[in-house]
Amino acid sequence: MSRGAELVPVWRAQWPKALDAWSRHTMLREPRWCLSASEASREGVRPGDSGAMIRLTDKAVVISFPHLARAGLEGFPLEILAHEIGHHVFCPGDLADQARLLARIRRALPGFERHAGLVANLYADLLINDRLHRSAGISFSSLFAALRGSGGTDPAWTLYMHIYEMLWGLPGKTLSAGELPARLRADADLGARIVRVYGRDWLQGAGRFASLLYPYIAKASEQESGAWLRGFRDLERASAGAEEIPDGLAGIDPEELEGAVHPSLDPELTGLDALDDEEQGQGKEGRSRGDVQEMDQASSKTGGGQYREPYQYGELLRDLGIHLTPEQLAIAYYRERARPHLARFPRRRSPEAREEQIEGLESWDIGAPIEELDLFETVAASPRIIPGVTTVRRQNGNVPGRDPETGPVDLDLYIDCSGSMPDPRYTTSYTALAGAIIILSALRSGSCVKATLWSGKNETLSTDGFVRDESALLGVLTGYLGGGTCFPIHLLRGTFESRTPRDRPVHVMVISDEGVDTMFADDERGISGWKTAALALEKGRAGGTLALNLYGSPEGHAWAVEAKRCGWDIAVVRTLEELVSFAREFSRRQYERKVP
Amino acid sequence: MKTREGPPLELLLRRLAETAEVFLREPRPVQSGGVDLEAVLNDLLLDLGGAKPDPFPAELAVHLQADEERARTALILAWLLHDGYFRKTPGRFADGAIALFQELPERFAGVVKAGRFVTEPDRREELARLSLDRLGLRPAGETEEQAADRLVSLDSIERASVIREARAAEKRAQEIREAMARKAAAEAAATYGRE
Repeated sequence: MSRGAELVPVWRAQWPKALDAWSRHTMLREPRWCLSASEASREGVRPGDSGAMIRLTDKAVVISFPHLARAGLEGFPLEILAHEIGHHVFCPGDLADQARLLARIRRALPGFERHAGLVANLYADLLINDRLHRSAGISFSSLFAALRGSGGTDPAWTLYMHIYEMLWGLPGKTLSAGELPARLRADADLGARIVRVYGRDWLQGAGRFASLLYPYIAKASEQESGAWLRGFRDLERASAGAEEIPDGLAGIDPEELEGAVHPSLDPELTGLDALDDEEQGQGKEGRSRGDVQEMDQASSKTGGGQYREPYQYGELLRDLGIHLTPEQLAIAYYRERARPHLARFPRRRSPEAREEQIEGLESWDIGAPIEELDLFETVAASPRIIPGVTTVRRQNGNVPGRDPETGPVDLDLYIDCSGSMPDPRYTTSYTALAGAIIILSALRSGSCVKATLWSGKNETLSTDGFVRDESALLGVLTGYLGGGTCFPIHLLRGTFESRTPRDRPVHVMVISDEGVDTMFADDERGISGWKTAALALEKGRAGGTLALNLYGSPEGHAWAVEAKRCGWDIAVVRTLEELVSFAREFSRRQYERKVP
Repeated sequence: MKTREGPPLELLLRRLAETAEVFLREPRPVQSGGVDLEAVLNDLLLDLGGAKPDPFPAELAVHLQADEERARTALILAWLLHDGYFRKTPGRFADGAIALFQELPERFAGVVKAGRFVTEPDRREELARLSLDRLGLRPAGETEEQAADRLVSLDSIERASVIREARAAEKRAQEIREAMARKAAAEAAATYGRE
């Protein structure tokens, strides 16, 4: 019998106690016990790992005995199991909170964001171990003593261990091995206070903890003395393989900005009255809420308001272990940002609604839905019921009713993606966002959409006709061309020249700037763009909108005056940001009138 | 200084956490609802078996009462030193107690408000350990080194000084980091996705 097989019963016996350490009502399925390195590898444990990890995606705890034996941790079943359960029930608990934790920590580690996962892990471990130590009486001193040599005398490790010593009232160097200069002792004290003050609302303390560790991590990273940290990453792949991206990650939580502050600047944490008095008397050396608000505003200016830029969103997901292509990330980003603005897409009203009317009877056979059997008519025809022979059902037809029927209007959307527009995969593109709002609203109401990204005459990206495939549409929308500016008149012509009155009505929308005037130039066949634009309105039967980012009044442009006269609605926005409001209001403004 | 094993630390921590309400009152005349510091010091020194009352407590009280927080700290210290452990050997701790009143309220003045010695675990521990240390004692069950190390870790004065320096350094570092973050953001936006 292998050593692992011998240990399984011992560890299994501790599982209920480990659950009870959190609550008698904690429900979590038994860990996956890995007896061999290959089994562990299949579960995602890597050779250098400590041997215990969790997966938030399927709420699993994985225990690898070969790894634990190598780390000298096989004698701590209760501590390790209770700790891993803590990741599930306390910190981070779920994928969304893990993402928020990472976001806050990333903000406090400028230049060293790659270590955010590690710092998040250290912080979560600290909170869990202290909670178990205080509330459940589970001592981690022996376990940490076993690990004492892991980080050697690296100052980051020493600080981390001295925080535990401060929390549990242990003399220095009980758990830590490095030097304990005054600054490190003071930092450890602040770290312990973060755990005490923000233990319940742990997300609030995350930025402060990361700010505290920042200089130590930076130094360890630069000197490559932080190899020990790897073994402590039981959260590293907690969300690997997640199929769903947690909601709300595109937005920046105000507390994320507020929390990235060194704990020495937080009067709640210093606990020293003189320093706070000095602040009041000498014009605030520490950081008050007012300071934070100023920072917030400054950050808004550089960081695009309360939202992350698409590349920052991508980096956060990558830290979370969700690996998507830049295109997939862009789709997810704009989908999330569009969601709060989605409106019910306008429906065309026409007197087409029909009401059912009985037109006769037909045979009801076994196999037909039982609810279609008309028993009254069956018995009236023959009192002896023989299924399939005497049984009948009603035959219904439709007649026009009095209530108008609503039908969706399709959308032919053209988005300017010339060099003057930002690449939506890297920085926020308000044209892409406005397009996403309109497309998703259209799909929600049952419409089909054709999306075309255009730059030069032959620089276009388009869906394969009118489709209802959200990913295909957003994929086109978040693409980037970045060339010259020349509206693809031939695509507009191709869409509408063969359209018949039996086809669904189509609203044409063009989002652009002054470059939209190329829409009215002659095409490659020498046909006037004005003629093609008129054809689109005529055959589309649901109007057209030019949403334009113009600095002056549309009346100052001859083409705009003419376009308006021809029936195009012209919506002018002064900044690209205003496109979002335009997109939100579009349905109401454009379609609440009666479409002929 | 060599120390002898004293009382269990928990005993003193609990005593501080349960400080009698009267010792938390304002140090002002009893007639106006306060507590008379001079009387408290007199009683304490008598209970510790000191020499017969002399003018010293009066002078000390006047000095301490010049600053309200100093006087409040002295009251809490008096409550701590009134523990049975210190009273059981008359005369042993009386001189040490006087030295404590001369040192500790002054030491914490302007750094730690007196109330924290009751409400905060770390400050309770600091006051208890410091008092034991100055009386030539260490908590029961601890070695000299352990007791000294823990005292260093809890040292408010050193911590205040380090935190003051850290704040100044952090303000500078924060500005540098913010500039770095802006630069990194611009670079990341330019290179992201091309890896």
